[in-house]
Amino acid sequence: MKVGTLIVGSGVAATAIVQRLLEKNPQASILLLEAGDRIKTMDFGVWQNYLLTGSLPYTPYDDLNYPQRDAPGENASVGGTELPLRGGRVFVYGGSTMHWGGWSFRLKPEDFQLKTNTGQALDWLFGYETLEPYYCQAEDYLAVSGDSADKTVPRSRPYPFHEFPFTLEDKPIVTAMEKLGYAYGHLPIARRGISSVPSRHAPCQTTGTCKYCPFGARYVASNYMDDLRAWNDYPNLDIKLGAIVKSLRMDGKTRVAGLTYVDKTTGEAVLVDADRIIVAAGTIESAKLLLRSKPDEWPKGVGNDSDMVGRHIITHPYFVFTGALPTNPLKLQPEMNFPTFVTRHFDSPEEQAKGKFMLIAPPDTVPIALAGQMQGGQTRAAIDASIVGSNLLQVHGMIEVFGRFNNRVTNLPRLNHLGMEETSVDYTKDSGFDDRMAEIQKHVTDIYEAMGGTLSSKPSISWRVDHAASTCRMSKDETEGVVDADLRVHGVDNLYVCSNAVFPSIGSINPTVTLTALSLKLADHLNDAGAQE
Amino acid sequence: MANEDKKKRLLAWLQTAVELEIATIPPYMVALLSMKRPANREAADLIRGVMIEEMLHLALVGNVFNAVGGTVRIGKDNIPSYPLRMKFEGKEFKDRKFSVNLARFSKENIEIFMKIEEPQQPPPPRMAMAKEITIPGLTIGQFYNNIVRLLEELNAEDPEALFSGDPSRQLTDDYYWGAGGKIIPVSDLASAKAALKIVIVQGEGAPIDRAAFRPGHPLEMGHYFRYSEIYYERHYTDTDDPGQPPTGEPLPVDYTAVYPIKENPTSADYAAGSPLAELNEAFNGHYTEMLQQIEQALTGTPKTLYTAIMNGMHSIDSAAMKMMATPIEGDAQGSTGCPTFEWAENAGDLL
Amino acid sequence: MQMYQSTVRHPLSPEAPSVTDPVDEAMWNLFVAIGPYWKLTDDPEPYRLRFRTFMEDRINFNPIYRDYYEFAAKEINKLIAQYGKEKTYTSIFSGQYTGTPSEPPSWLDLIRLYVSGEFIGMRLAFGGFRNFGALNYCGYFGGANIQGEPVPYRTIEEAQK
Repeated sequence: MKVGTLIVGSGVAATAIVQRLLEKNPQASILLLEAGDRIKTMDFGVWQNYLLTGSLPYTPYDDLNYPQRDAPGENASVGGTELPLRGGRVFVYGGSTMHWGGWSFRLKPEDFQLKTNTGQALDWLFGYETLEPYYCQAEDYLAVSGDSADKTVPRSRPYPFHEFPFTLEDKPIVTAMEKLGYAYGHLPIARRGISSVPSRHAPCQTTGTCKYCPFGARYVASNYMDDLRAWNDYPNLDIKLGAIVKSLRMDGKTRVAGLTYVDKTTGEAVLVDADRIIVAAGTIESAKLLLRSKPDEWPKGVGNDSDMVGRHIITHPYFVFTGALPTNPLKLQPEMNFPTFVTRHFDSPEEQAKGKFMLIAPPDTVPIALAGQMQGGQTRAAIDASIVGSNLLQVHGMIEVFGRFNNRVTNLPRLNHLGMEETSVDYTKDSGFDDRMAEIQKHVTDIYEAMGGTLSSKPSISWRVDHAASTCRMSKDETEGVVDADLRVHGVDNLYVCSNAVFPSIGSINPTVTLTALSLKLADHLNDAGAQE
Repeated sequence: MANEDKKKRLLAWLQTAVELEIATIPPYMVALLSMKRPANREAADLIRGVMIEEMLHLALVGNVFNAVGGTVRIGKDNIPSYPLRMKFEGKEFKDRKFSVNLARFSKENIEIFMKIEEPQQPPPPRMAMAKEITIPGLTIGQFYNNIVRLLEELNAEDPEALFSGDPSRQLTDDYYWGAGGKIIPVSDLASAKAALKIVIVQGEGAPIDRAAFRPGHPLEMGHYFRYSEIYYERHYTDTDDPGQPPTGEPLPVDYTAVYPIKENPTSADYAAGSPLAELNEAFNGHYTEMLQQIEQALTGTPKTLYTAIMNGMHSIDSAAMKMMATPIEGDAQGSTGCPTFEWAENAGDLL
Repeated sequence: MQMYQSTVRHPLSPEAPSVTDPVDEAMWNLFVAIGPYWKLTDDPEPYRLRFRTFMEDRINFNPIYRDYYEFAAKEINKLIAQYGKEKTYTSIFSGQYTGTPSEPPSWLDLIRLYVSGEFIGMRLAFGGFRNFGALNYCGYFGGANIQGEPVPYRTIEEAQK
């Protein structure tokens, strides 16, 4: 089999690239290989089951836990700090957009110059202004609702849909921000709104079951890919599910010839030749594919002569502060499933060297669970009293950490429950991390006080790999990273990586809008370079 | 005529309008689902857009109906059966003297769809009310224009008495996406006319003019022109005369890439106990339930519409597609199944 | 290539996943009884059609739900005959599932787990949640966020009122 463009993965990067390539050339020959299966989306019965039981149809496609005593599990965590894989990514058609939250931030201009400003990691190979037009396109593509008047980052055109107003639950933290003089704003969120442009994708009905939206109002790549295929004439676009890519094949040192995948349904190895390959399989799998492809010309793995592939892995430690709200006369309770408030006050040039952080008011700032209380047999009087009485009060956030050479992912020589190579994660947090968290806690304690609540304990911190990045970071040459400014693997003319893996840094915000912008930029680059057959 | 009688007449006409709009949906849906992909992509997209806009028309008529304090009825006695000949007060519409069928995507069927959506020519005369209505053979356009005239007359006499409906019954923007037009909540004459204008301009009974002629913008183009593009297998261009066939780029159509479904079936066509009978029964159950939910949505509980859309539409699509892929046992022509769109009695008993 | 996705259906589920009328009635009465027990003021009547769809979808998702509903109807009717409606519903609503995975659930546990507990969840999502002070709720179709139209949830402006 021979194709023009071969893409490994079917998440947001792959889908955005495909759409843009086909807009330019509807005849383009494109094959997507996805290891996972199709999850039916927008099914009312599945949605109802999620609403009632909390069970999601795609969790079987998560990683298992790391092995523990009495539980075999899979993968390995070999460093000083455990980065949980389970729940951080989903191996399905549509990739991790199946479960993403849709928080749609842009990086700030200073994030593109991390090394210059702080000496940490690397600078990006282009500045904010280069990516800005693509940020706009990415927000349109992902259908982001946001505050176009927000000056946190410069923008050249409005969001496609206007912001969701602050919920009443945001009242305590907004009050605190005003008291403390901290800047705050509306959290930009990928929920489709209503505009004069008709769309086959439905608008958000504020239903609050976003992990499985019955309307498809939150971007899921597979919905868009299905729509792309159903309503267009793209005769040479094909998608193969259950295709586990084993290794890349080279045609000399500087050209990739194709790859080999295993068809999960037949168990057979299939060879595909391609004019070019885009590896868009997420931060961990993209690096692992390069590493385990060891043709004669690349004995340490493709693009890995300088031992950069898989290294410098970073993610966002996600912290949850839980304090107390003494009384709740406004009956604050969850009315939404996504946050509407964010402060990027500490996502600033001043904080950059120490690790920027952002804070949000989660949708369950005051985590009242009515159904649980009723199902637990509580009386109306008891429930009413508990709502207006003392309640928990939450503040969440994320902090930036920096890439380190010794922190890395590699392949393990055994297969996971889905038939893919297992992962070894070697990560140890910086020695200064706990001190930085203590500093953050001081700020958050002030915020709690200004909210009229109290905070007395440390946050819980999740190092889960949701936002993992940097394993194939862009760099001026192969001694510092893996891809160039066009996301092309150093030393290979027709091999690209498009995933959070190429980010030299991730700031303190969710990476998906930036990845989408990069994907559209890559597609433009490929389109400009002329259609390769 | 006394106001009371005029109002009665208005409510009766609006009920007819509801039934008129409902009646177009099953034939469009059957034609659409009968298409085997990936052929006929553009044609399918055009039919899909029109079908969704017919649902918009239903919502808009429902809003007018509710604004004037009426009660929409969608039940066993108000739903179409096929082949259908649309009548109004016992007489066929002048521009509907033909049968509308549940049938596969075909050139003949597209021709019928064009007739359903055919513009006025010449524009409708301004009409006096009562005596005109007895004249046989109104066109659909005249029918809608008569509704507008009646609204104007009643409004001139007592606008508050006319628009006395409960505003909470109005459907809003939230409930519509995916094709042209928008839902307009109706509270007065201006909004009522704006709502009905969308119905008229997009579809039935628009005069041939350039308002509904937007080559290159399918969702802004009248239904007639969209079907005309399929029929002539060409796109319109900006310089085309809306009164003439399109002359632009070819629009590929393949009438052989369809399921050979049975035309205008009834449940008697499927042997008792056969898979098709079971599927059809399930289809009709979902269809009936969905109609009940739409009726509820149009009579005071708008939120039920979400369930009708997300659960009802998906369930009936799913069942219909299975039927169309299933051959009818012992059928000499090798026909496959087609849902019958009949009221399911069991579901009806529930209420 | 699909134009529409088919709906998810359990392979053992019947094409028409309905319950019998007496079962439907017993389940509806149980659903309605959630209101008085928790002093909810929302009128359940507009939920009638959606409740029916809900039960069908549960059976469609897993056909054992038909058995759960039939079993619950039978047990509840027996109890009602013996103790009356109020006592019966109270005994169901006032307790919670207490079983352990190692032993089979009691009949009451089964009803609470798969029938009344889920009905409570749906009752809240259909609109019952409003009694507790909010304007929107997870599972409720609140409506879209359209500029110039009322926001479908309580906003910070509410605190000013």
